[in-house]
Amino acid sequence: MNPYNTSRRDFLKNSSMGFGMLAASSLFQRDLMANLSSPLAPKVPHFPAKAKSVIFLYMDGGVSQVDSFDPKPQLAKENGQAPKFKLDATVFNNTGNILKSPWEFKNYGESGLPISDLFPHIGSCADDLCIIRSMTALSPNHPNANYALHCGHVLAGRPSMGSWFSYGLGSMNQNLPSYVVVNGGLIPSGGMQTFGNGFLPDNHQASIVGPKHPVMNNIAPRESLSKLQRKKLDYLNSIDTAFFKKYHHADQVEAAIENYELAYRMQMEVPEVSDISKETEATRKLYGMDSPYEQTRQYASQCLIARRLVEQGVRFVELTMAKVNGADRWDQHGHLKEGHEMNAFTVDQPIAGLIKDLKSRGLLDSTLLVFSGEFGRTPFAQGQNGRDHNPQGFSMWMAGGGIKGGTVYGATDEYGYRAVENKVDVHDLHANMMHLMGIDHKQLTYRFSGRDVRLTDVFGNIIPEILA
Amino acid sequence: MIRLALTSTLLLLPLAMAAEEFPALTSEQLTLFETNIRPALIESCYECHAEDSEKLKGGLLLDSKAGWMRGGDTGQAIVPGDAENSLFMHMIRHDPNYDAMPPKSKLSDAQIAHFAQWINEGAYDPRDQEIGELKNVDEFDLEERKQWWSFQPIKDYDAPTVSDPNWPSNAYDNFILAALDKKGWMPAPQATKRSLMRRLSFDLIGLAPTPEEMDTFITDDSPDAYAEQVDRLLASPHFGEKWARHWMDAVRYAETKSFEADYLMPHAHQYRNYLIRAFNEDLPYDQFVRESFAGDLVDEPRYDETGTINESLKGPGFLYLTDGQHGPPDIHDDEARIFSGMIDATSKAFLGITIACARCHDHKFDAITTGDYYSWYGMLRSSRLDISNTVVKTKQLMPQSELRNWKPTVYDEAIADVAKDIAQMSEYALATRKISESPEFQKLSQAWAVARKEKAAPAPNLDGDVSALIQTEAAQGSLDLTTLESWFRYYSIPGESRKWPQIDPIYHAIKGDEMSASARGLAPITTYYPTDLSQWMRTGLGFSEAKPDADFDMILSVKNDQNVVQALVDLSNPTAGAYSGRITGSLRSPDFILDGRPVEFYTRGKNARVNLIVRNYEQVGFGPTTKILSKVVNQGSWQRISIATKLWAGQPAYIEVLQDGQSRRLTGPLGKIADDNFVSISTAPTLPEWGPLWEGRGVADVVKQVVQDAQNRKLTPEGATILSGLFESGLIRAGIDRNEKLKSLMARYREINNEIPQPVYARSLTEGTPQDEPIYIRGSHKNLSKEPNPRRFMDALGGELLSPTESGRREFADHLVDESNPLVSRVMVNRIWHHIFGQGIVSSIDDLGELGTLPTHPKLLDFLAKDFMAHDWSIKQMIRKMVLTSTYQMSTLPDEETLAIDPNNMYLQRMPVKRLKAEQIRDHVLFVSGRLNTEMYGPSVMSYTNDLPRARGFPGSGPVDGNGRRSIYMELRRNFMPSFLRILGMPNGIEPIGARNVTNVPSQSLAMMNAEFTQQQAKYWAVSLLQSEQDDVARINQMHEVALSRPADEAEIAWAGSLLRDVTQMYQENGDVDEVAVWQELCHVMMNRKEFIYLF
Repeated sequence: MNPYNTSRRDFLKNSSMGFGMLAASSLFQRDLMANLSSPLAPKVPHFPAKAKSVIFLYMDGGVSQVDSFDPKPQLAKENGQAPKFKLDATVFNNTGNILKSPWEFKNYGESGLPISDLFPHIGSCADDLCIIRSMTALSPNHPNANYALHCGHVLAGRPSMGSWFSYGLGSMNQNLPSYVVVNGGLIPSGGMQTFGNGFLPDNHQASIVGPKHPVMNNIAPRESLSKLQRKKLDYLNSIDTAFFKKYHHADQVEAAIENYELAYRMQMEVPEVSDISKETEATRKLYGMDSPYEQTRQYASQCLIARRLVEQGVRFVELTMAKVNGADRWDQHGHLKEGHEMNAFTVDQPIAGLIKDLKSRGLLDSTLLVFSGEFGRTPFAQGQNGRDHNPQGFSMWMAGGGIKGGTVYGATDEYGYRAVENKVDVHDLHANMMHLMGIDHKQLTYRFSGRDVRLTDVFGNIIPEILA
Repeated sequence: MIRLALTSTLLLLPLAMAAEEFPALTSEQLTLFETNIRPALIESCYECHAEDSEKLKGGLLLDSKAGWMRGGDTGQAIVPGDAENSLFMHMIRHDPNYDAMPPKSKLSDAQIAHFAQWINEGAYDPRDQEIGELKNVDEFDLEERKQWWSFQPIKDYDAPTVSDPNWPSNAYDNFILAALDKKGWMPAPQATKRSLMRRLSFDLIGLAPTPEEMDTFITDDSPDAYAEQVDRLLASPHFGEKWARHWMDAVRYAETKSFEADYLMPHAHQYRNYLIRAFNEDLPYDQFVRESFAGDLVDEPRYDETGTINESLKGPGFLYLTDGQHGPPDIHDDEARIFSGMIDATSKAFLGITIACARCHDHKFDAITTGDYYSWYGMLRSSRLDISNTVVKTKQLMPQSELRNWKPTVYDEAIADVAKDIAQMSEYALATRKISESPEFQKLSQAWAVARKEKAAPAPNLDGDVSALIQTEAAQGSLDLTTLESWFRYYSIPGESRKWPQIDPIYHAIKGDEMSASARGLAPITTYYPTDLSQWMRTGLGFSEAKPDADFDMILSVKNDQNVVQALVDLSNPTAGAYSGRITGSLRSPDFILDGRPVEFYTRGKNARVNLIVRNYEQVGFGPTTKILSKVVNQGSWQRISIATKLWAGQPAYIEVLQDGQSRRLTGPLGKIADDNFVSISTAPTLPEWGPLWEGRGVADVVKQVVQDAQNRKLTPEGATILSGLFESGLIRAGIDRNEKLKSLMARYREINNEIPQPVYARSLTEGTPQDEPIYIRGSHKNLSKEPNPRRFMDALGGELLSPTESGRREFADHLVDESNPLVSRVMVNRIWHHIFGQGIVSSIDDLGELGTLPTHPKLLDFLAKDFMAHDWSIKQMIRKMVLTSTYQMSTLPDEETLAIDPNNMYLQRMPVKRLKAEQIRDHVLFVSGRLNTEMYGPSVMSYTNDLPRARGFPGSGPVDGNGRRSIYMELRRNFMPSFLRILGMPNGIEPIGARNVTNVPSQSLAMMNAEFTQQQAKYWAVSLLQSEQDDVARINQMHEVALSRPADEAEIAWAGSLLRDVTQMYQENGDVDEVAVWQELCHVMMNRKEFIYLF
């Protein structure tokens, strides 16, 4: 491959999908009208997809499973006693006694899923959720577990799943990036590498937008006069086009000229799509935009932006957490009650609002929601009132896009410490997410370092029980 | 064939053992196996654990005895005769601490009981006869694999004959033209002089030619004009700045550890500077390879241009530029991961093969064995990270010996100076007690006590009333004020007197109570590591002090004027910094296995540090569990160090003793190099007992005796310890503020000290304990092969054993650059070709293996490789010849036919159109704006990071334009890479990338359009244009010459004029017209022109 000539040909050569995948399909007929030479041109999935977009609700730091979606009465019985089971090494090496959950659980919906009082709003959507209680992480450390959750590998430097989706499916809207992170203020531990494109081409890198204007780096023109930028671009275009006529064999120059027009349109569309002021009062309320708590309002606006992005055809949207007063993410090594309460208060209503809003717009079926931290927390205390990291078993949930709602999959032991039934790991999670998006996770590869690398490495199983 | 040999021994060994241990087989055992064991295995286990399983799980085979004896990823599954300790039993019992097997159902209690019985009776298994060979090993035939082209010897080829013998400028052209001839294609015509000059300048130094340079070339009609430009550019100091960056990509250069807090790796930038120097001085590549592997071991190291710095020592500096986490729960796993990254970067960079793929199994495609991988691992285990002082030794040795000669004179005068303090000891004691009992001090003391209780203790200070009191007392008693202050501090500041237990009786003398029995020797320590310090390994000169005549020597201060004696140390203990803190070094124990007990020893020193290095873990930051592995040494008296190791029991480790600056502490600014530093270590469990010396004697008598012994050079260890405590506490002092003679003696001492260059540290390697690393079965560090895996050169390239008494790095490098090695020279000439011609002869330049691409011109590749070696591995020579080819001088214009058949230009019918690299674009923007700062070397410039989200470890932001420095000097923090460069394709610094993926995406347009950087530089450019007295047409011409290396044509002058008019009008409509603003818009558009970033 000639690296100076990253044309459509080369892109296809390196990609596992090949020419065949470009064949017109009814699914993306409209979008195929878009610029085919762009690496972000939409591609046809391996098989008909259930979902077109993913919204990843990343619960930074690790939500405690026994306090949220996995009730364990045994903890109340043994509260304050030394754990009777064998413990793995923890990060802080400061393990205490069994700590019962400070919250009660209620059964919600027709399915009767038990959900703790931390999440009453999400509880009201119980029949849409598939809770996986046997999730496991690949590391007890934040950065490694984050890299694993995002990139399928405990090390930095690999492409994030959003990049893989962008690479595998392209974008349905050529005026927007295909992979967007709506940043609430907390970049996951592990840094920007969590959203990196790794060895995949740079166009699959995440675009980071904030909840407030201007939402994205370099998206706002700096010209002091309106219309001045357009004027300059017209001059630029005329001189570049003349230049290209002289060197018409350099198709990368042509693509670069086109990019300026595309960039110009993105300047319009990105702020437009992230402008939530146009939403109705009812919708804004549904998400909690009227909450007395500033962080809740902010997360609500992130959720609204996510919906608007998905509506416009963005493939993968991740929401990072907001900075919550007095709590370091969900990472409550101490003061579990206060910290989890503030975090839950921040995300509960906005997430429920998002589910309901998507549903009422008929978008929930084609949008896959994934709610997960990088690991869970120990059922025993760290110090007096905290919980340490627990990678051996924790809860996450999915909803929408082809997921069987109102179900529970897998189980932890009676303490909620280790997954013992139907264990699921990040590779399985990725495999199923890809499956729902119409990608065979074993087929989507990129040749790097002498291997055809995939997001799921050599792992990943489809779980029929969670699919609708 | 090593792999096959291993397999068969593996198979035989356990079987033989089993037969011996359980010789008697009864018919009951046979029945048990056939009726209860075999059926259960087939029914419940074979689906995932048999030869023909669709997907083998955990690497474990249960359909043969050899299979379970070898075990899976977590080790041997069944221990014959011991069901309780068999992994297999834990799993089938669904013990919650193990993976449950079978995963989705559980065997019946009866079945589980049968398995337990079977194992306890020796696990008789007749299947060892049924399946003769363990087949799980992927088929791997080294001889067959070695047939791959890149493993074949490099052949001698003659330059082929060509259709047009006049076309080739040198033999390289013959190969290109011969290939075109075969196709019947004509090479493209020659490029214009302007186009060629612009291309050449960017390719060689990464910068555009100045208009003056262009003029010189255009107007020079001599036949050598072009060659002269080539030589000028090869000699430019900017050459190294361009070519070092290519190598930085290949070895994933960055300056932080990524992960959670993105800790800085001190001195990383020295490696970048090393590369720039090496490329500039055209270091022969074979020497470069030797230095990269073993720069610390070369016989005659290279010096920098000043003759002060050992450059070779920096060569291995790239190796430990790894990522790193601050608290790995499994430190062996962490080492395996980090080493894998090192092996990956190194093998790709030098050999163009992917050895890291052989971590779990022999390479799937290439002639690389798992043994190769763990042989490299063994070399790394046998080597250690060292932050080395690169100042050449001779520059340190001369002044050091002068210091040694001068010191006895200073010693005598310093001892003489304390006489007055000693004569007045009882006055000092009385005055001290008096001040401390004063109401002024009592008040202050109570305030401290309250603050301590509230954990907000202020630093005690004796300002104000108390200070005045001390002054008064000193004046009244004709006491030395400084000495009295020390006495008072010693007695009254909480915790102070406890630092020197050896002089405790003085404390009690001041207090006026009975002489204390607390004066004691040091408690003994437990040792289980190699305690013979003469066997410990040293780097630098720090610990190489020859033992002087006197056993006890003074450590002199070059900073403290009031007390020039820092301590008295016994130089029979290894000591660094005894003559000068600028003479630094490290001392490291051999490897030993931690047994869970604390590691204990004694140290003394100033500004020093001791680390326990477990599994080569590079201490980053302060992890909750790992912070205890590093201890500060900042006490002149013996200090007991005890490092808890419970968490790492069973792991190999070593102790390292360092002066400051070499510390691996990765937070905060780079270790400030303190002149006053020294460190000394003792592992002897018996240390001086000074207690008896005080027994039944007056305090002053003891002190007098000790000082007299010092004068006579007859100090006992006990006496030296006491004297050291007296100096450190300041109860006696040798001050140049009160002794003219001492002042002049010390002035000379300090003068000599200053002749020693300040240490300049760089990341390097040093030798550790030589050891082989066993193969990790299926890559699992929990399942180590019992077969030896000696360190050796690569199996496919001869497999010569490396010396067992060294790490093997030096010999390995020698093998690499042996002219018979088919890979190293091919890989390097291919890299150079790639950077000159836009694509390699093998386009996958990091992978010449089976998954890479095939060479387009295989004979040319061999010809180049031979030529490279024949010309002393000179990189400049190769580049020179390549750019002098007619091929390089072709235009980029294709003819329609070849464009259709060879769109990717594999045959080089024309030169490819190239886009500038990220760094070149940024540098070119600075170049046109006039803001390019061509200063070289130095530490990195803080990158502009204000446009990045504030994640953990956010370093703060440098200026938007990085002070105009070239991009190669920007600080590269893995979690905060400068976004402008990243968007334009600079790699992330984590994966080695030989050939960048040049993308073409809207975010790049957005950056050029809207980034603060381009807008700011456009303004600078406009201002500088308007400063010159010329008309607009001349200005427009000048813009084109700087930005595009050519004058504007008529259409462009009209275009620019029209733009200026339109913009002026827009500003007018809005009110004011600002000329700079108008021109800024034109400058900005110029930077966004495609011709600005593409080379034709």
